[in-house]
Amino acid sequence: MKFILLYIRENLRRRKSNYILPFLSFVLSGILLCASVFYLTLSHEEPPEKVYYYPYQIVVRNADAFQEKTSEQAFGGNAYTQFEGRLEYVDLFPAYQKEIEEFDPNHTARRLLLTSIPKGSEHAAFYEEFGYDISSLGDGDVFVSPYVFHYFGNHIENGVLTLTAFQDPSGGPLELHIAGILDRRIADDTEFAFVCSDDALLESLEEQCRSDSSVSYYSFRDDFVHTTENYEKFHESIKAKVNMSIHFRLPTMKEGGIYSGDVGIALFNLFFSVLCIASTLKLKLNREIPDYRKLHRLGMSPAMRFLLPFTDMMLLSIPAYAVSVTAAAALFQRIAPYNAQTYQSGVFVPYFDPSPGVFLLSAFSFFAAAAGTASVLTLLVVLREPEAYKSFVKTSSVFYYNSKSFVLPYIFLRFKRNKAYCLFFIFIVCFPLFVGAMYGTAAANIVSNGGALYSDAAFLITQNEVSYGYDTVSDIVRDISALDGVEAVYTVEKTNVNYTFTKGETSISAQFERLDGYTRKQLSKYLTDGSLDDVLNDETKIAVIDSGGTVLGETLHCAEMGKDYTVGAILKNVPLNGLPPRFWGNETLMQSLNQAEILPADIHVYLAEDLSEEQYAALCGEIPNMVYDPHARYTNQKDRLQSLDDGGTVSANAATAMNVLICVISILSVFLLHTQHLTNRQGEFTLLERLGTSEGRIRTLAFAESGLFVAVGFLIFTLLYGGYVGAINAAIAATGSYEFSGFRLAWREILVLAAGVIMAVGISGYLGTKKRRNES
Amino acid sequence: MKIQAEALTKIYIQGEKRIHALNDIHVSIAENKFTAIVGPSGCGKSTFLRALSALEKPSGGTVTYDGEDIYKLTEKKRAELRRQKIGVVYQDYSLLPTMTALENICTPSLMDGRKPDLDYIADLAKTLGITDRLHHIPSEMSGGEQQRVSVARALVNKPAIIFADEPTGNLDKDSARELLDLLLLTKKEYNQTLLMVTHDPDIAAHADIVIRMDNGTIRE
Repeated sequence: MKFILLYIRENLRRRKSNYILPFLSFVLSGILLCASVFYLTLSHEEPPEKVYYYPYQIVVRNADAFQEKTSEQAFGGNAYTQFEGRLEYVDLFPAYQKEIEEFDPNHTARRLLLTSIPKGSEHAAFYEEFGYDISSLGDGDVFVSPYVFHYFGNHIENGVLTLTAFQDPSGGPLELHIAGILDRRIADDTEFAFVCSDDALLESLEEQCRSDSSVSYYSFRDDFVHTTENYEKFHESIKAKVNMSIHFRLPTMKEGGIYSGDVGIALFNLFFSVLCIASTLKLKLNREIPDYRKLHRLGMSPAMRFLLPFTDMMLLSIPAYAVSVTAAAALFQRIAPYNAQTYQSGVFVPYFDPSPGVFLLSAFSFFAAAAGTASVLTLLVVLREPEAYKSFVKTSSVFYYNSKSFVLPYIFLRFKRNKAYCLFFIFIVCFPLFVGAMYGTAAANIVSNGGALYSDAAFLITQNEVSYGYDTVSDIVRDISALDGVEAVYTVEKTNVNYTFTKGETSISAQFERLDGYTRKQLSKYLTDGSLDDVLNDETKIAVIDSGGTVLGETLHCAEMGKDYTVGAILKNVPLNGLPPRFWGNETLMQSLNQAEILPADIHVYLAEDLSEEQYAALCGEIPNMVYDPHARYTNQKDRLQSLDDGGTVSANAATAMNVLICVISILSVFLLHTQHLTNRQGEFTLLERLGTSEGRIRTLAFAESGLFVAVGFLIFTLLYGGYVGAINAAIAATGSYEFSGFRLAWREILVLAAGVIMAVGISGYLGTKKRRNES
Repeated sequence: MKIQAEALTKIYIQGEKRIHALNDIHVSIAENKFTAIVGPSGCGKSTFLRALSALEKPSGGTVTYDGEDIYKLTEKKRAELRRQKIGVVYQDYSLLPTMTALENICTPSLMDGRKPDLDYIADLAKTLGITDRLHHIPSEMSGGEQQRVSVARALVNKPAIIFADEPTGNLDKDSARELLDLLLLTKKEYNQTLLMVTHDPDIAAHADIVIRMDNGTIRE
């Protein structure tokens, strides 16, 4: 071993140039391998910090049953803890049932709870974590839920809510001072609720209502792993037996991504890393072969002759790994930075988690690839005796000896007799092109799946059932429109009834929406035939989504209406995200649908363009609080789109980074391998020159040969890439509702790599056929 | 064809050393004769042969073929000369290892843009006793067979002159003798000039003319 280290030291001192290229290749390959590991281990779980919409509280009213259930728990009793003490509450609903039912004809709301929370209790700490200071509540102070604030608006004046049905402890009308409005972060019932810290008030109301109730609160423990899977397991294990509610937002897993699949990425990148390392190490070993042969003649054992170059190469890989892992980590910190804010919209953006495990995995991958490549090369180049050419040639090539020219027949004969190398050369031309094109195509076409963003509004409030009356939509629109920074608010009406439209034997079930100026503008980008203006102006015409075979002007019969309607416009690729198909008709048509139940409209909120970050944050806080209908769904489309964009950007940037590395590696490898190959053919070229060929003609021969292989490689790549693109287009077409603005071929990436390969082959062809002269 | 060398000099540079391989050689190669070039190892015999066979440009002096300085010709013309006028046989046979004997023999014709004369090649093969080996690659042949293929290749374009650089160097005595007889036979049959470098005195004894070299010069 001492001799090995001595030899390596002297070799490094005297032949520094032998180490430069291998070091560079180790670094490049290391960056690619580390980048692959980092990409494949991007975290999609919740980040360690607490974020909004974080499931925290489980409210269980039937606490005894829940306690009983705990003996059958799914998580061994470690999932949750109980808050100390039970909370007293009183239900005021009976006194206001009639009033509530006026705007809740479906009788969804069944409780109007007032809860008193002791100051300094665990319950108080829970509220304080979300910014509601229980200790600041005085007698008669309450926090109210958004529903109370809005639907009891008639009872509120100057911040005081008067409940005339009750009396306060002193016997006067019950007046509650509103200290704040609870927002959606509190995992509480989306019902009417008051929260106070006034036991006297509670007792008084309990007496007036003749009620005495209490509730236990449970919380997930801090070490509970909040994933969709665990929520579902937990919920499944207890939901059947316990009257409880759990509020949490299910995280959305990653959207977009590389089409080639994670295993494919790992294998491709491993291949290129090994190719890069092999091409430079072979060059190094070729230069040092005479030394090893001399050592062999001096009596060095095969084991030592293996260990010497192997140790040399592995020692070189250590500093190279340090450089490459640092570079790759820095790259991924930029590509996939941790950003807790992106989780607000419920979409998880993958992020780089530099944990020890990830670095260990990257080190293992790198050194395994390096050691494997170094071992195989050492065995093949250093230890194996050179063999004479052997083949199963039985007969001479008729094409060759019947030819009249030399270059082409010679190339074909060489291909016939050196298939392995020729096919390998064609492979290393077309394969990097194909992989690079795949990565480039994926990166160029990663589209934020808007999750059926049927609107380009910043905020979207959708309602699927009538709960509190149609008029409340106008109220919401009025209130939101009055906010600073809101530019426009539109409403889109729809029905909740499915109509059956028949054409011959075919029938389609669809919901109806109103086509007005706003929806006409939104739908115009999906229009493929007909005119939306025609539909707007003619109550007998409708706009339909193409279901294959829809023809403009055809008549559809509506069974429920007993009327015929003409298709006036055909739309395609409208993102509905699994919801039923829609048809659109004008206002008159909507009004004539008197059998239909008109739902509260969807509300689309557009913001001013010059909003500051503070103004935007304020609106993000205010507007959700205005959405108090339990059947309403609020979506921050702007943030959601941004999160989806961010997620797509992470994937796209990772693909681009890996693609760039593959380009550099493959061009370098092609150059080195081809130069070495031609250098090894110097004897052949010298012989051809002796037989009567000029140096220029030999160069022509070499260029023609490699040019032909490059052309074949390009042709194979074109066929493969065409097949790949065709497969993607077919998959996209099959999804139907997926909005896709246009598939982009990665021409730029392909051309850059193709040009690089051609240059590499050209330069290596010149250098490899250059005659070595040493005369004056 | 008349070959002459005038004031032929060749100097190699290896690092800081200058090696004078050929020193002011004047010689005229007799036509249609067998000329042997003999001398100790390292005296410049092979260098001399390469210079005469248009393979290595001298540092000084001229080599003329029928009065024309071949090193004033373009690279392309010299290559043509090598294809059409010269046949070379080497000590190491210099066969392309991935080609059969027939393919090796056909290569000079193809380089010249001519379809190989298969009948002529068959005659050559018969004369040289390699008919059964035409479709074998070099690794499947003995040294002697390979050398005979090399001779056939040298003769395929019917050159005016054959240069042979120690053609019997890797052969046993009997094979060497056999090869010499073949070379003399083909020389006679095709009316060629044969110029052979050898260190074997038995071979040199059969030459019409013997040129002795020492230290890059010709000794009489």
